[in-house]
Amino acid sequence: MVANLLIQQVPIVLNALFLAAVLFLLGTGLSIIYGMLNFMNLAHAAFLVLGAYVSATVITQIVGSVGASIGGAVLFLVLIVGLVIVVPAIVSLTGLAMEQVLFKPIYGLEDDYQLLATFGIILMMEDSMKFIWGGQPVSATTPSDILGSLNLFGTPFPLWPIFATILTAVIAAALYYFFEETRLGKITLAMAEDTEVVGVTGIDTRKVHLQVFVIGLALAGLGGALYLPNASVTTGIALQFVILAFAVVVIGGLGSLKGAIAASLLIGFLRAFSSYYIPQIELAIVFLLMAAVMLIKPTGLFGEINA
Amino acid sequence: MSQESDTEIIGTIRDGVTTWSGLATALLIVLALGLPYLPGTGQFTVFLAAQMFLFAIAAVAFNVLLGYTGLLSFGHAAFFGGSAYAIGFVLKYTAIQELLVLLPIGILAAAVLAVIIGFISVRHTEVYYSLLMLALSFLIYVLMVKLYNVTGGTDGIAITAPTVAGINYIELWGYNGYLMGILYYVILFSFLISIALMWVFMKSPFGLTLKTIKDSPERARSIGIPVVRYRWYATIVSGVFTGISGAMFALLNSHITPDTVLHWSHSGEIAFMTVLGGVGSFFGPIAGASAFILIQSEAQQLTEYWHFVIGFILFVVIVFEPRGIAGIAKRMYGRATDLRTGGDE
Repeated sequence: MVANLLIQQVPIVLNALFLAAVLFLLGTGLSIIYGMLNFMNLAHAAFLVLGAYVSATVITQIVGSVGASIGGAVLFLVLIVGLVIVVPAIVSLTGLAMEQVLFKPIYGLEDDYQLLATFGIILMMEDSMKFIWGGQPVSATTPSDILGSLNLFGTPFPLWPIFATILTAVIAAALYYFFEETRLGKITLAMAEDTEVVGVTGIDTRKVHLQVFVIGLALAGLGGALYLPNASVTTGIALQFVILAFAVVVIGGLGSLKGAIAASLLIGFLRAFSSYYIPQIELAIVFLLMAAVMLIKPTGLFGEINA
Repeated sequence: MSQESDTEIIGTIRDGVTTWSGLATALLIVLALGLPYLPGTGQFTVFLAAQMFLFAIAAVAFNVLLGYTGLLSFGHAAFFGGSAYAIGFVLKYTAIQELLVLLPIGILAAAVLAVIIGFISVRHTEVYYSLLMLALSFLIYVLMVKLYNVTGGTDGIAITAPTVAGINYIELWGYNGYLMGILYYVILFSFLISIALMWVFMKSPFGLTLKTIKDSPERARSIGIPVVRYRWYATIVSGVFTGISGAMFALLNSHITPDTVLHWSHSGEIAFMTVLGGVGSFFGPIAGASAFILIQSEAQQLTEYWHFVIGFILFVVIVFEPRGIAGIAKRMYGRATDLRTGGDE
């Protein structure tokens, strides 16, 4: 009886980890862009949706052109290269082009106006994506299909979420190394404290700014790429991710990698378990948690930067 | 800066009440009152005008927060839709059909929501205030969608035409007569009364206190103003009037769903109207709401991607003309005055 109950929890835990992985990729990008570049980008989550759409096209293209000639393992490898490298690259390049035209003019504005202007950008991005990919849900499950599923105490469970979780863990470790050990990472942390002083020391802050921006967007794009093979995407989901991304930042604390990991896990587990036991209000619970954290500890669970 | 130009605008308006701008306002009101009887006015025009008036209430109410208190709410859909849904529930689950009962219930629902959501949100300012409002309003949206046994889910609730002072006009005059003869005037008078009330609010010590807080919260605190409490009051005032707007929307559209009244994009739309009209000015958002309704009805006919148009305009206004239509009007008025007086001023 108890064993059965425990077995029942295993797929929920795996789902929770997968949700946490996607949220981590989304939230970390937002956290470093807001925390370190002090740019309030409401549209950040739209880049995850863009990443998911681009992934659908990339997967379909790869399968369509070489899917017949190469099989199984090789095809999977090609797809992974597409999802992990090509998709984030396309998303970052799109974001970089948008940065020049749309984001640059609003850096100097107050936070409120940045929110409003980026709200306008979300509207433009959503309709552009609707124009390109249509209003119907888009999905491409080939990577997940090739990977197959695992026999979990008699019920099959897809391997893709497990794969995506492990991949994200590796990326989280790489990010940790980046911020703690590399020169660029340290400059970024310094810029979060005081951009002007960093500029005075002779460092090209605009260049660092762009590099951090690109990393943030690439992470969001990757989040979309890992999310898609196990789900489908429509333009409407952008808002959900907008709030979830902010929930990660708010709960974890601004500019804190540890906080983002903890918050993603917390939200992932909360969502996975509540969507299993009380599906009517699963999202509502996350927002309640977010409101509660803001009231009790406004700097977030791990944050030191006061907003 | 904002306070100076605000008093300047208000001063200009006050001086003008006895002169041409007062006359122009009176003329506009007379025109609005006579609109359904003008030759060539159809149901569509009246419907469009009613929409402008009802959204203008919300836009001016939104500006109480953004322009006067310095708080950007991304959750006004909660008050707008909360009021609409309260009316929907009463119509669905009780036998009450009287507008004079329904309207206070809608306003009360918006007030209760504003008291609760505001109490939580005003603990923070700036981005965190906006996000709390967004999250809490989305909470209500999610509840209305998910608790479909009670709320009708995404199908929403039908809003049957209410009786007014006990008389069922729709039976007497049909839908067209009801819209042109009753509903339009209900909305117009709600608009006029709401605007007048908010005008009085903003001219009162209450409104001036809000402005003091906006300009410098620290200074306000040091002269003994309970800043957080006043931000809460401002949120409630704004929420209540947004509730009136939502109630009118429900009556005019005869059907509400979570997506048409509670979705966060409506919070964004109200913000859009306010910014387009002019954050620094009291009457600007009325122009903003009218412009929005016109753009929406035109753009929707042209393309299904009209959100793109709205987003683009919002972006351009913020980058190039943050003071909106009112800013443009003021500059043109200034230029005209310069020309008339030979540039002496």
